[in-house]
Amino acid sequence: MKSVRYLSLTALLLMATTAHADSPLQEDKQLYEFYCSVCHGMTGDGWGINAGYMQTEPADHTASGEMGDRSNEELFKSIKYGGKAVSKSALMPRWGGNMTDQQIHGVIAYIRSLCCNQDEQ
Amino acid sequence: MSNRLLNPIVKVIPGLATFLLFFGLANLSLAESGTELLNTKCAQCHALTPVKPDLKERIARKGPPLHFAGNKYRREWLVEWLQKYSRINPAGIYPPAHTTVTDEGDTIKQESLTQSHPQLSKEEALLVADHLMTLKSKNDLVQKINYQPGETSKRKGMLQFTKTQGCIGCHQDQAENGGISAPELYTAWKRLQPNYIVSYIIDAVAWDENTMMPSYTLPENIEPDIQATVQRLQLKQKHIQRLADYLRLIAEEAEQ
Repeated sequence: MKSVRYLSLTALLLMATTAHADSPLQEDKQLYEFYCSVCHGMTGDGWGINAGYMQTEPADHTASGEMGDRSNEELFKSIKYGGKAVSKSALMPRWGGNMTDQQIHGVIAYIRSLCCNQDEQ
Repeated sequence: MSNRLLNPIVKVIPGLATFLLFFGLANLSLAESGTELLNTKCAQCHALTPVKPDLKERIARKGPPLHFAGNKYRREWLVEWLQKYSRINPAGIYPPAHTTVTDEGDTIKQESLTQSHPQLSKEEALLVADHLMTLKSKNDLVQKINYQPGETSKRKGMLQFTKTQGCIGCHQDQAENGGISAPELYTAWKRLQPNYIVSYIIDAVAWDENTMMPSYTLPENIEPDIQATVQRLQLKQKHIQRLADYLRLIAEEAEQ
């Protein structure tokens, strides 16, 4: 009986782990790390590995003031078509050929979790 | 025809057959050795057949895919590099895996990067390079391109590279100058075939669906309110020409 209980517990834990790995937030975070973190930083603070070599500082996605001024629509256009499409830096490339619109919205949701959830905590 | 005339020809046939058989088999054996070397020394870290679009593939990737190596690399560079490894990606194939967050900003953990690559003998390098040159998936992509080196000045090329397109954010155009997340480009002209360079600039995703390089091909569903702006910002032929010419110029400089 005890071993059955352990087995059930293990199965539940496994299910929980799998669900977590595939959760939308995890996927959005993975997209952010993949496409954005080298410039905007692993934590979104704007200090990615490339930042020191750029003439324009990458946006700090943890700055609630700066990010609060930018609408989701502006962020969407900036990610999909590049910084120049919204009169920002050419160093921000366009990702519309790499990510679907849905994935871009996911990245925006993740960015919002970096800048704005912190204030609520 | 008289027998006197035919006899010398008949006598030569067995010798000729032996000669052809010997060299035919020798070539076959060389090709087999190339395949074997590729399978034993390369396949563990490099994709030899096309991969599925999946970020996880890139995250786990150890070396660049080689299934289009014959359309990508210059043979002479491959022969040299396979005998003497030098780093091309300053931050590795998937930089976030090697990144550490510090008070000074994100940095690359050098100890986490691959420090070596199997070093081949000259004979092995020649065999592997020859075999790699036969791997030509995505052939249609290079066949559409006919790049001819132009007369772009270094200044115009540099402006394109650093400001207009912002390639410098991720790539170096000389040692220690430029971003580190993508391959250094001051030896790109030496490594890569010109038509591949041009094709990859236009649409990196068409070559590698798990690339970290932005595709400059426009998406199909452009929102009406931004169509004019996006069309105006589209990468044009002259920009591509300048970038490819610039890579040639900086490679020539790096050689000196």
